Amino acid sequence: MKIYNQKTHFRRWVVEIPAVVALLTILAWGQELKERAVAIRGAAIETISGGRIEKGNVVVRGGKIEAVGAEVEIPDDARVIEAEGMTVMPGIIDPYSRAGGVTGGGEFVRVADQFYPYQEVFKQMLPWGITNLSITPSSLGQTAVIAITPDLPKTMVINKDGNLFLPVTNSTSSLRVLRDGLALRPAGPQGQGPEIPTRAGRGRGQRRGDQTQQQQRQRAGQRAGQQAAGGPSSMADPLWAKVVKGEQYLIVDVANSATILYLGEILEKYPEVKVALNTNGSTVFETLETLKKFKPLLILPPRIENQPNRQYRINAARIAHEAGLEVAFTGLKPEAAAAMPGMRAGRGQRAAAPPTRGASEVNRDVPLFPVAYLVKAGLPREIALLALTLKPAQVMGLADRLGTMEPQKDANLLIFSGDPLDPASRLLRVMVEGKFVYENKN
Amino acid sequence: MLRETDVYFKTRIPAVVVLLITLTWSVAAANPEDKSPPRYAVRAGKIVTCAGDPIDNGTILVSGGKIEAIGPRDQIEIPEGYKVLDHREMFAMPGLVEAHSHVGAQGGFNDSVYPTVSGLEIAHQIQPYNDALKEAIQGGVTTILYIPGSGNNLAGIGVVMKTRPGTAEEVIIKNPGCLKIAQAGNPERRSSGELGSGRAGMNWVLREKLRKGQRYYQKWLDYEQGRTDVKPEVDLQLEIFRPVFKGEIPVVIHTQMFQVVMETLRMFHDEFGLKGAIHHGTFDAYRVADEVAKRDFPCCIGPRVTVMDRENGQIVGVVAGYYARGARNLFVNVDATGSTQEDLHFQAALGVRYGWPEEDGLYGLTIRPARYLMVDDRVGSLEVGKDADIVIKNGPVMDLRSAVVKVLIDGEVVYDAAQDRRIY
Repeated sequence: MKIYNQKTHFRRWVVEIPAVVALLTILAWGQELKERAVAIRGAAIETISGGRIEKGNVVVRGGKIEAVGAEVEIPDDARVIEAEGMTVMPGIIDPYSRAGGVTGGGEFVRVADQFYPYQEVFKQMLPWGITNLSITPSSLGQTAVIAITPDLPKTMVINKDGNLFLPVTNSTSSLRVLRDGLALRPAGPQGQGPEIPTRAGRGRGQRRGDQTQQQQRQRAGQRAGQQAAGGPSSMADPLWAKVVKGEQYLIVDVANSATILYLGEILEKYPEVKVALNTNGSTVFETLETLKKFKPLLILPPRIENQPNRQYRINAARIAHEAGLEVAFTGLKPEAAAAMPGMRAGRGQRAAAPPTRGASEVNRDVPLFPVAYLVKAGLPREIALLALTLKPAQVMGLADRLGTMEPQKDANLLIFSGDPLDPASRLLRVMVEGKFVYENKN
Repeated sequence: MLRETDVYFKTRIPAVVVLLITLTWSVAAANPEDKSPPRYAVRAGKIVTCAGDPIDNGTILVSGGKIEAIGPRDQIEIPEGYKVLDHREMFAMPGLVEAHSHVGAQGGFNDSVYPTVSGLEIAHQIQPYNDALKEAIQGGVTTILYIPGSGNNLAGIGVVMKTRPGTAEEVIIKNPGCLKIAQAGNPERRSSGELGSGRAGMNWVLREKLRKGQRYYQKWLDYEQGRTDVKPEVDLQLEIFRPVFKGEIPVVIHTQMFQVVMETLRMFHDEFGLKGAIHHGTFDAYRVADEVAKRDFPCCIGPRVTVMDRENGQIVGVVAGYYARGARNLFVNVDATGSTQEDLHFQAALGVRYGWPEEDGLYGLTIRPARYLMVDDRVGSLEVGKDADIVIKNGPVMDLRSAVVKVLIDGEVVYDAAQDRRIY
């Protein structure tokens, strides 16, 4: 028995050791496969940060860009994509999106707590070349940045602690939130901080002496249910501190042109504060002189618009650029509602987009056409490309991760069959974090 | 002139007389009562004539509202008194022709109480140069077929008109311009139970009407050709069928989806042998384009110029879908009901993007719809003797980004982006 046992033991040992070694080798090899590089060879590259490379290679590994350039060598292990005649550019970033079931309401909305990744809309964005979004609430709150990886819902949010967001109207209550916030008047434990405006422009809280006792009681009563000590409203305080120091953009949605006048008065006193305004072309046209003074970054839809109450058509992005203002584009993909009657937002809001009732399909196949039209109408090409990529990344505070074709940045990129701004080109592939997430089979 | 003046001097006619003559002549020339259109020499880097090869570095002479001469710059001398419109960096092309438009007036175009209203003339409600037509001009559209809607099976009589300013009489170039029919789609929306609200009912109504019209036409033909002495009674509801059956005006047939398009071909081409066209022809109707091709029946495609093939999730260009199956007499429409008429060129450019040959795209915006509407003696191409409807664009015609910078209609500048409206 003993001999027999020993023999068995020996045999088992002989089998087990190589088995373990083999298993480890396979695992290591598998790991190697996982980390295998992807190389895009011979493409024109819009680097954004370093101009256009007429012919070069891009190497991607581990979800990051490893190398970019005309002379970059392709690693032996790389899966090579031949891209001669094609153009590679960074993925498009939308700095102002409401996708993902995010709304407003309450005292403070932290998008990362509300975000709902299981939505078809994200898949629909990929054919437009959109790879990242900053999701914005519709009332005071904090944005979150996502990468569009619908197959990985758990990791879609790449920055839970985004920018402070504030909708502003031309109303006392609304402007007070801004004034108090910038003056760093803290939100007290009993909800004595800046009050949350709604579009309707709700009145503001108790600390001011201009309210009747009755109003104060009402407010206190409303808050009692909404806000425990150190409740949601105080969540804005550290964000205001960052805004005042100029460490983070304040994202503001302005209701109209008048709001910009008052916003300008307030912000002129805070030259450190960086503001990104979500607005539209006719508002920019109307308030250009004010905007020039406090120089916000403008988040604009990429479209030809009309002068207010006139038939004259304007290229607001160009006008803003020529006035020395920075621009980021939003809303490249039409909202579902707007997609059916075309890209037109009603009479007088003519979008520079292919027409009408095949638009949802056509637009997705000519994603950058609206931007190409603005370029044709005088917006410098490099400014247009910046407005799609690096500028939004800067607004989000993620310029070190997104927005250009540089080593160590997230491998979020687009491969076009030709010049991205030529409507005859097609978006062929979209890569997000090193993986191809969309392929155009048309 | 110079020599004559020299002669006068030589014959020592007093300088006062010469001065008087000169003054009189210049006053006459500047007389504001003189309404004859100005004379122009239009220069362009490339002239897309839609009648033969394009002309590089060309000149078009415009006089009396017509094209007087056209050719390469070195072959055309610009006579005195012609104002030069210098667009040597740009493209010139014929004014665009839209064969399916509802913006000849602003407002209602559906009178759909009865299934058929064959006496209704849309021409009676024209509003020349209305806001939608101004936008049409800014998109280079100079001629439209203005038609009633598709709320009922036979919606009335369309009119071919220019988009320029003027009285209705001045802008109409052909009336009656067409007979408007609607099969499938819109007429079906009426509440069920009414005659013509289902497809079988609609086809029954239309056949009945066409047979009646055909008998009426035949009666008049017999009378005109002396086969009978009995003069037929004029019936205003049926008058339109005389030019229709004579082939003098086309039948515009609103039709879509392959089943209905097949019925359109059977009824209008095979049974009644009418001149007409499939209008819209959208959704999956391109799948029966080989049947269209067999009959060489014209198709006016739009406004949906793409369709999603649900079997494989691919986008299909509708015009290219027809072309690939052999159909050749293809042109496009926007079906404008509001401020969309200016987008006509997009339709062709998108057709080209999905595989329609570029030259076809150009013809599909100009000469083909003009021929279909039987007004190609006046519009649709840049040729001597035709109306001087000229569009100047700042880039290639089939590039979606190119914009219109100047438009001439009937020899007059009706739009100049630099003056009339600042763009961008």
